[in-house]
Amino acid sequence: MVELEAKSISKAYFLAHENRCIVAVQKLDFTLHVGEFVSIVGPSGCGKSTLLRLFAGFETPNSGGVFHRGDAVLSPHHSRSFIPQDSGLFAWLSIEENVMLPLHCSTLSYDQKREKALLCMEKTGIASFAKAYPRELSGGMKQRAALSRALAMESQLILMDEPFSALDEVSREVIDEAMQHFFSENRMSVVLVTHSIREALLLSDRVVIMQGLPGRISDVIVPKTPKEKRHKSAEIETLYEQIVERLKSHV
Amino acid sequence: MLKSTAWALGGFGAFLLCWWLFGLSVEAVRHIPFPMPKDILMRVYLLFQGESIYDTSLFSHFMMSLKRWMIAYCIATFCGIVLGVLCGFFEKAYKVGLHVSTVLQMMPGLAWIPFAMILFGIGERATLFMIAMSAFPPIFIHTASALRSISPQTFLMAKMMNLSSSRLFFTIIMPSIALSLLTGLRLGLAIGWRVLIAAEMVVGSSVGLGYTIIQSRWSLDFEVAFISIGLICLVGIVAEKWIFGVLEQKVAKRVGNG
Amino acid sequence: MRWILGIYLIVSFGFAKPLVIAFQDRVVDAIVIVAVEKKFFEEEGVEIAPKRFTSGPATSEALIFGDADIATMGDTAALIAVSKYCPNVLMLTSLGGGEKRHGVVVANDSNASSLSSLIGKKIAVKKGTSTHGGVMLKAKVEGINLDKEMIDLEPSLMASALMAKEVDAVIASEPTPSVLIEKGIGKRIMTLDGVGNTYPLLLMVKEASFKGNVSQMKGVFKVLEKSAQFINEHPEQSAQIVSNVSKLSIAATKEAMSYHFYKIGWDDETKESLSKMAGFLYDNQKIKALPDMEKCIAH
Repeated sequence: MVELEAKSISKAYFLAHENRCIVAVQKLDFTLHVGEFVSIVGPSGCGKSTLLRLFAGFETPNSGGVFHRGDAVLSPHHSRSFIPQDSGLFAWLSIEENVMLPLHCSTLSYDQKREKALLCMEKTGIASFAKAYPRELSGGMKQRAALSRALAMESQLILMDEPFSALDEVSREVIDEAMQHFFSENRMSVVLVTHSIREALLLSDRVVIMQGLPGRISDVIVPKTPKEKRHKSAEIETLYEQIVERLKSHV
Repeated sequence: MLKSTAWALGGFGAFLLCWWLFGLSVEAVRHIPFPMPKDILMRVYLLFQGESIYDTSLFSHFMMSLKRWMIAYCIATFCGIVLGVLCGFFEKAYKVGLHVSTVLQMMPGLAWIPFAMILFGIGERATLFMIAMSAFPPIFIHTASALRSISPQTFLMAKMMNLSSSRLFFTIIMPSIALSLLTGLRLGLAIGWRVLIAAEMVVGSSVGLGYTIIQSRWSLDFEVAFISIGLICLVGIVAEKWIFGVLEQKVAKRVGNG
Repeated sequence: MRWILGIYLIVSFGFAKPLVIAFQDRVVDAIVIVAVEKKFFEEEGVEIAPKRFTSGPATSEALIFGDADIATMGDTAALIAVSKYCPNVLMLTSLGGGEKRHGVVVANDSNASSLSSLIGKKIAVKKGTSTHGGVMLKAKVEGINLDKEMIDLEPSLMASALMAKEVDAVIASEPTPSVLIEKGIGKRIMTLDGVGNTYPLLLMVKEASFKGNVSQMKGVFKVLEKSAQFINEHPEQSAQIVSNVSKLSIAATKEAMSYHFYKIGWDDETKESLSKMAGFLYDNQKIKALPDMEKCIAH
C-alpha cells in the first residue's frame, strides 16, 4: 500500500528583493510505501526541506500533487507528523504537556490523555522526563519527545527535517541506534531529511539522493544488509563512498 | 544581609546629605527657602497625623490618583491587547496600526488636554482619556509586533495538531507573546502614571497627587509638592521593579528565556 | 577724573537693568495696563520691562522665583507670598480694589439666587486667588461651607464649563462675570461684597529690588498715581485701552471696570481688609503663619 505519493510536483519561490523566481523543486515524483523508511540526502539548498514541507502540507506545490493514502495533501493534518530541526516543542509546556497537546480535541478524559502520553513517552524512552521542560533536555531527548507527540497523534506518517543535526557525532550515533530500534519496532512510515549519509544508510530502506537548482531526485540507493547488521558493515561503507562521490559531483 | 542593609542606609544617608547641601546652595544663591529633608519629614509626620492638603487627606489624594490611573490603565490594556491581537493577524491592519500608535506615542501628555476637553469636557472622563491614550501605544505596539513575529510554522504545527482556536490562542499565542506583552504593559504603566500629573490638571475635582503638585505651585507649599512627587516615584518603583520586574523574571523563566 | 565719572554714568544709565514688572492682562490691573500703554513710565524716565500674566498666582511666581522686580496680584496671592517669604518679598502699595469685583454667575435658566442655594451643586472657582478667599469669607458670613462644592478651574475654561452645564455656578473676578453675561452664557446673581473686604489689588516688590532701585521705585509710584488719575478722569479712554489689551469688548470692559476703584496708597480700610483675609486664611490653614503687616510693607 502506498503511504505517500508525489506526482510531478514543482515548487517555485519569488524573491521580491531580487525580482526573480527560484525553482526549489521541479517535476519531482516520489513514492513511499506503508512502513517504509526513506531518507533524503543532498547538498545544501537542493530543496530537501521544501520537499518535506510539501509532503507535510505546510506548503502547496505550484503544479502536480501530493497524496497521502490516496487523499490529496492540501494542509497540515495530524495523520502526518512534521518534526522540525528544533523539535517543535513549546518551551513553556512540560514534556508531558507537549505530548498531550494534540490530544486535547479528543474525547478522552484528562487521565486517559495523560496515560496515553506517558505510554508514548515510555516507547521513546523519555518517560522519566515527563515533568521536565524542553530547555532541561538535550537535543536528542527533545527529538524523542517530538516523536512521542507524533505517536500520541497516532500519525501514520512521520516527516523529520534534520532532527539530529545539532548533536555531536557521538550523541548522534547513540540516538541513531535508538531510532533504528524504535522505528523497527513500531513499523512507522518515515521520510527523513538529513545531512548525515551514514545516518541515512543506517536507518533507511531507501536513500534518495537529491540535486538542486532545480531540486530533483538524481539517484536512489537501496542497501541490502539488514538494518540490525548495518553498523560497521562493508556494504554500508561502500554505499557511503558512492553517495559521497555522487554528491561531490553535484556540488 | 547586614552588609546590603548597611549599604542601603549609607546610600540613603548620602542622598540626604546631597539634598541638604543642594538646598543650602539654592538658598544662598536664590535667597529662597528650599524644602530640606527635615522639613519634609516633619510635614510627612503631620500629614500622617491627619493634617489635610487642600481640604483632603494625603491618603485620599493618593487613593484617588491610584484609582484614576488603575481604571485608565485597564482601559488601555484591554484596548491595546485586543487591537494588538487583531492587527497582529492582519498585515495591512498591522502597518496602519503601527503608524498610528507611533504618532500617538510621540504626543506628550499635556498635548492631550485640549483634545480631552473637547471630547469629554471637564471631569474624570477627560483625565481617564488622557492617561489611557498615553498608556495605550506601547501596549498595542508590543502586542501586535510580538504576534507578527511568531513564526508561521508555529501556526502550521498547531493546525497539524488539530488545536482549536481558543487552545491555539491561550496555549500557544499568549505564551509566545507573553514577554513582549509584559514589556508593553510595563511601559504603558510607567507612561500612564507619569501623565497623571498633566491629566489631573483637567479633572476639576481638587483631589489627586497631580492636583496637589499643581496647586502647591500657586500656594507656594513646596513641601507638599516634594511629598507628592516622592509618592509618585514610590508607586512607579514598586510597580516597575517589584511587580513587573518579578513578573517578567518568572515569565522569562517559564517561556524558556530565563 | 571726569571721564571716569562719565564712563560710570554711561554704564549706570546706559546699561542699567530695566525694572521687570509682572502684571495681569485683566481689568483689575487697569492702572498698570494704562501706564504701560500710555508710556507714562518712559515719560517719568523709569525703564521697565513689562511681562503679562493671566492670574495673580502667576505674577506671584514671577516675583518670587522669576526675574520680576515688582508684581501686581490680589490679596490672597499676596498674603500667601508674604506669609512665606516676607521680608524677601514685600507689599509696596495698594492699587485699588472693589468690594463687588468678584461675581457669582449661574446659567440663565438656573433658580439659584444666593450662595446657600448652591449647596450640593458644582461651583467653579480658581483656587488660591482673591476670589477663592472671598468665597470662603462670604460663605462663612452666611453660615455655610462650600468646600465640597468648589471645583478648581481656570477662568478661561469657565465659560465652556457653564455652557456645557458641567458646573452650576462660576465665581470669578471681573471681567469674567461681565463677559459671561455679555455672551449670554449666564446671569449674575450676586457679588462677594458685604464681608468687610475691598479685595485690594497689591503691588508687591522683591526686597533686593526695592533697596537697589530706590529712585526708580519713587518714579514707579508717580507713574501709578498718574495712571490712576487718568483712569478716574478719562474712564472711556481707559476702558478702550484696557479693552485693546485684554481683547474684551468695550462694553464688558466698562461694566467690569465699574466694579473697581483705582487708588494708589495705603488706607485703614485696605489694611483692615488684608488683616481680615490673612486671619481667615490662617484659620482655614491656607497659610501657615500670620504675616506681620507692618514688617511686610515696604517703607
